[in-house]
Amino acid sequence: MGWATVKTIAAHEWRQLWHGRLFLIAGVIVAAILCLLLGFGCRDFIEYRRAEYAASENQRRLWLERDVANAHAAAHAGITVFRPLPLLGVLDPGLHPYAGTSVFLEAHRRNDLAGSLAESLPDVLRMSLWNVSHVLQIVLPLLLVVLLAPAFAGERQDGTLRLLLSIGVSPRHLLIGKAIGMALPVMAVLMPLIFAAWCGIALISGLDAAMIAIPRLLIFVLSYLLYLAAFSILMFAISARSSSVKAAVASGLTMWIVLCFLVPRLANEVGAKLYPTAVAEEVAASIQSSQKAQEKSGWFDRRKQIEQALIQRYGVASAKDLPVNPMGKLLSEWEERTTSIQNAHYRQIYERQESQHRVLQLSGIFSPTPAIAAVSMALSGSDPQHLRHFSDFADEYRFRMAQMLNDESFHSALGKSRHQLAAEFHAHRREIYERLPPFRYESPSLEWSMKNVFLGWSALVLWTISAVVVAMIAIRHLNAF
Amino acid sequence: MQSYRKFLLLEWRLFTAEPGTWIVLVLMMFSAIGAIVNGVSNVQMQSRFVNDARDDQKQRYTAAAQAIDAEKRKTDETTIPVTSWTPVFAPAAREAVYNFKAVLPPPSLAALGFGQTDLHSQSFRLVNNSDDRPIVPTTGTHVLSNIIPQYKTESTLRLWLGKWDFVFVVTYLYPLFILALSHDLIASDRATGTLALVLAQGISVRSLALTRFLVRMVAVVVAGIAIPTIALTVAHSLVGLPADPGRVVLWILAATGYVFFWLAAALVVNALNWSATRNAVVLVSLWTVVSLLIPVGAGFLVRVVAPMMPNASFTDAERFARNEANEKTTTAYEAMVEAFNRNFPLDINVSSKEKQQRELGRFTDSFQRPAGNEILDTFYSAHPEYPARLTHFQLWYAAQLGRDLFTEKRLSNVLGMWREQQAQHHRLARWLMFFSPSMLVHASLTDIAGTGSHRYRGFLSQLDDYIRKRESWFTGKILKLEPISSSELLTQELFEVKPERTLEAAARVAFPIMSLWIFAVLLLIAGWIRFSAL
Repeated sequence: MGWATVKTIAAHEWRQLWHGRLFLIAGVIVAAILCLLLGFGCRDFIEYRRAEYAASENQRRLWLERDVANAHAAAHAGITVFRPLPLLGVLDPGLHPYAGTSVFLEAHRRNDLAGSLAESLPDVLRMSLWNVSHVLQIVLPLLLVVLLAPAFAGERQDGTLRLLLSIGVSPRHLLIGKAIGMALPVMAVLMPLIFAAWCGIALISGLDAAMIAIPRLLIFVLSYLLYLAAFSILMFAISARSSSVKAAVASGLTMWIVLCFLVPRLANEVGAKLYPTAVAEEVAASIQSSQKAQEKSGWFDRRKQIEQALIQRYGVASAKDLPVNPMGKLLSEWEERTTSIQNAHYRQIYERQESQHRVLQLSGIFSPTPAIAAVSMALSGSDPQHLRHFSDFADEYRFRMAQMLNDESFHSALGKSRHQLAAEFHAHRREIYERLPPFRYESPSLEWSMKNVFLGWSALVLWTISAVVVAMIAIRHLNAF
Repeated sequence: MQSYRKFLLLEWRLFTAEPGTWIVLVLMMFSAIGAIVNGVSNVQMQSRFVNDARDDQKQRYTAAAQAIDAEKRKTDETTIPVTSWTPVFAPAAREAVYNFKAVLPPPSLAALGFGQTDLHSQSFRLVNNSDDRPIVPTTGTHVLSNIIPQYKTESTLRLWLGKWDFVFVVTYLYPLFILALSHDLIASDRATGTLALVLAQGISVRSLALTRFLVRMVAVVVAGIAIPTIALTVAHSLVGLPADPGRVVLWILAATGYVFFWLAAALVVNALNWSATRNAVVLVSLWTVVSLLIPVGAGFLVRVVAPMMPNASFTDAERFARNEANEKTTTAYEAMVEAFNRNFPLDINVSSKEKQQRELGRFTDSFQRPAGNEILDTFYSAHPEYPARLTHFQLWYAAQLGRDLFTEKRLSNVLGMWREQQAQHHRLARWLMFFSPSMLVHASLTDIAGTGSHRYRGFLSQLDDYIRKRESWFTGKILKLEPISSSELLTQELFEVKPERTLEAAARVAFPIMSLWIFAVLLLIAGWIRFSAL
């Protein structure tokens, strides 16, 4: 009786859904919106990547052709690098629109990413930066509320539930049958879209990149299926306990508003209260005062010490006779110190942001929406951890550039005149610049991405299991009236 | 009339007897007051930075003036050496007061909403010698390339999720609260048969629905607008923000118009004679469309119809322009050194005192500027009032100004294109917002609060004007070799943001607010007609 009943119920639900206008209309609208957003995602990705690639190439050329007086001036002239958009950004750009696209790398200073998409948008469109993930996280649950509200409540209202229970259909089989019957049409709409997304990725980035993206995409799909399953099962539970469809809809909508809107926003506020974002002005002042204190504590003394050490090492009479430039060594030490001061501040800033992110994931206990949002952003490579990874990577490159040029200054002998040094630098500048390899950012691995959202993933799994338990409890004493 | 008043009171009692009503109204009030508290904490912090910045600039000017007075006391006024690096030397005075912090003060209704304040840096530091600092399109001019946004640390996660402010609560949550209160004006009564009993008392369906509409309107306006407005006013006086009754009136008009719109929409849906469930579903769908889908659609439409140049392309162009200007400036410096050496040849056999004298000549001895140099040409074409014969130091200063002008000229095309595209973007968005009352109220409330881009752009423009004016004064002094006295330095204006007049904001938001009211009245009329036909 068991599986045969489940199959019959599932087939019945499937037929009813396909024949019902609501599912067809809603399915077509959601599929159309998803296709449209996917198309826009691909378009944005292509445009962004094209501009980023061209600008990166140009900046490299500018670097190689730069004509300045000496190596240290070249370090100040710096280089600008651009943040690439990860491939799954077509599905979930996450924090990408709010983070800057480029960073100016120069001597002595770690700069922030600048030029985000959101900055140039009109105020009124700030909340319009939607993508595929928003539909999956917010619109689909709303659709599930409307579609699943009558699952048990409708049968009860029509009197068919009494009939079903009287012929010995167990509530558990009824739930499983209805769940399968509902899940199949939803999958029938979603699966072709997922394949279309993969094809889109293959089209814009090539087959090799698309093949590499498959594991991420699969986990992405699995995560959303868990999320939607949790919502669906909860809605079944609500429907099972509601006296009427009206009550089921009202409860479902309340649940949707609380879980999809209120909890994420409140979690954001709680996160900010527990781990306040570092105040821009205070960070700037703190970095400045640390650096000033350092300047006072021995710039000139240290210069003398370096000179003395080098005079001893090279066995010369005075600094003028040295075959190397003590200033290069001093600049190198200075760079190390300023970098460590600034990195310490940046570490604090990022740690606070990551703590806020953890609070958001933890709020997954109260709602699966922040949990899926965190997992989705991590998989698409656009969560706070990925932004920090890029920023640290770029700063390491900046440090490398500055130290390479400081080393060049160190090896330019002091005995020569300023003009001679400039002429020498001018003659060999391209060779020097080429010592710095082009900036190629490597995104972290899938394992790294997933490790950072362990809490979110756990919350998601917990929600699905809890939803099943709640649904089982709700249908244990299913009331036919 | 008296019987209607009795009926109204009865409906009010019935409405307030429902525990659900109180839950919704209390939730509404708490979410609004919570948002105000959140906004006030931000205002307090910002006010502190404004005061610190003002004090810091004042101190710099006072210290520079004191140094000038001290220098004057040391030497006879007639023999003040204006050509060496003493406090009276204009470049020295300029350097002493050059750096300052410019902070955008919180507007009078800042606690209403964060607006764009988390996206745009509210505080800048003006620093000298920033030859390589990138110009960002949002700040714009060459003058502002020297202003560095203070380390922007707002968490991107918070930017993405958005903050809990009053504007968010009104725009997105109030419609849901209203929906919870008004999706069932008469449907349940009809389903249970009590409607027939009420109608038997001689009351029309239309009067019943409108009375219930009115009761809910009063409750929502009191709990969602009047009480939070009192809280807002008290909070503002506590943090010492100036009172701005005009803006408070505007905010009440906008918020009430929006509340009226959603109640009127609920009335129309109720008039369609559907079940309460269906009403709820339709109203939630309407909310989804008006508050989520239309803004998203508008966003896409704006980006497709009026695309913006990618930030990477702008940055790329800017870096090239800046690099070209710097390279040409280096050439200008070399040409100036060469011209100086040609005009004042160095005799290696002279005494060290004479050599020192020659070095001082860089500040005193003028010579014809080197011809055919693009950077100096750029400076002289913008400032023909200055003589072509200047000292080495003056020419160096002129070359620095020429470099900034050259960069601006090189960037003018791309910056112009960026601004034009942004203006198109804004125009289209402004037009499209009339398709969604949520967009209308969001834009209006943000503008009324003064935390939108409009005030930010005004701040940047004032900062740009201030720096230009101050630089122009110093340039005159430097290129005419005039000393600076402490009194004239102290009469120089300190940077202070001039507040926008409420009338200007009112002119911008008048049409959107009026539209909200027109939509609401039209819906009310539609509901009235539909109920009359029942």
